[in-house]
Amino acid sequence: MEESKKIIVTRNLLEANRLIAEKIRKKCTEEGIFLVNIVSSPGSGKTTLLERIAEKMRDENIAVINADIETDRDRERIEKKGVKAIQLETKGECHLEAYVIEQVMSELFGKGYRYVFIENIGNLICPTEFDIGEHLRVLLLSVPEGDDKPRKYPLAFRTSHALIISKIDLLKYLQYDIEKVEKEALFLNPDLRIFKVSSITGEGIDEFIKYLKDSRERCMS
Amino acid sequence: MHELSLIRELFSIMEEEVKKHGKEKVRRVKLKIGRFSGAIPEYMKEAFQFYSINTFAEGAELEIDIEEPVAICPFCNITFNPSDILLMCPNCGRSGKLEKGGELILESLEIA
Repeated sequence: MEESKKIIVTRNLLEANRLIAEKIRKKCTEEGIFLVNIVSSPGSGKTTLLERIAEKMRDENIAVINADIETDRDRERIEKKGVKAIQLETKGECHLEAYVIEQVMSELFGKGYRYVFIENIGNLICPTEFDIGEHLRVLLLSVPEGDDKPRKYPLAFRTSHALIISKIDLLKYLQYDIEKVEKEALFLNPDLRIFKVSSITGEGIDEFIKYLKDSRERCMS
Repeated sequence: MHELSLIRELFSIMEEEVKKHGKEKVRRVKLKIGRFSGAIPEYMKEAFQFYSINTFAEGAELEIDIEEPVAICPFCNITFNPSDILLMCPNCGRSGKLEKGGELILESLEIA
């Protein structure tokens, strides 16, 4: 048997992903694209929120990337609002990685987009581990999911810039301690901006859009 | 679930290192994984074995060192060993920041 040799490597397994993510972020900033990564569990209302955003921001040159394990239903819903949408079918992958976004962003560069929203795979665990080059990470948590989530999924709260508590129109039907959620979320991440939104009644949407615009302004200046 | 992605990254780093050193095979792999890194060592081992079939690392031994977590409280400026991922400071009860224990590092290889 050939003699083996020991080599010291010391390299981070996420290093390649991080480098691609940095490249995407830099390129987006140069192009004036504000990249927003929306993470949540399945069924928390990501697509419905994006439909409302599409209605209110369609004159702002926005595009949406919908990621799902299967189907292009979400793309159809966004396109009906007159907004460019690209569907990614990950065929089993539980999260998005930077190299996937790098490929799909090549279709969106050079076209004057000012905001690109990425609807990540519905999953509160794996997507939080991967930087995909976004400027802003928004976590969506819907009222029916229960008020115990911050402590169960701390990394999702720690790695996000903003938290949207969605489906607040259902608060009157459910026992949900919204103050507890806010308190526990801020315990995990004191810098988290919290919004209470209903995509059905429209409550809180304008406030969140203002936050998006202010964040883009800050990022591009 | 994302362990397979991490193993895929590991393989591309290993491939680079093997080529760089003019070798062909990987015999032994040593990883350092933080207890709070989100990667589960058993799944990493299973994914490694699955991924290595018919590759330059088939049959290689995977050794995983677990790095125990250490957190720092930004308010009290003390370091402590957190009992869970909430990283609660034993002094003030607020949430600290992870200093150690989040690592996902390829430390060394034995190549031939």
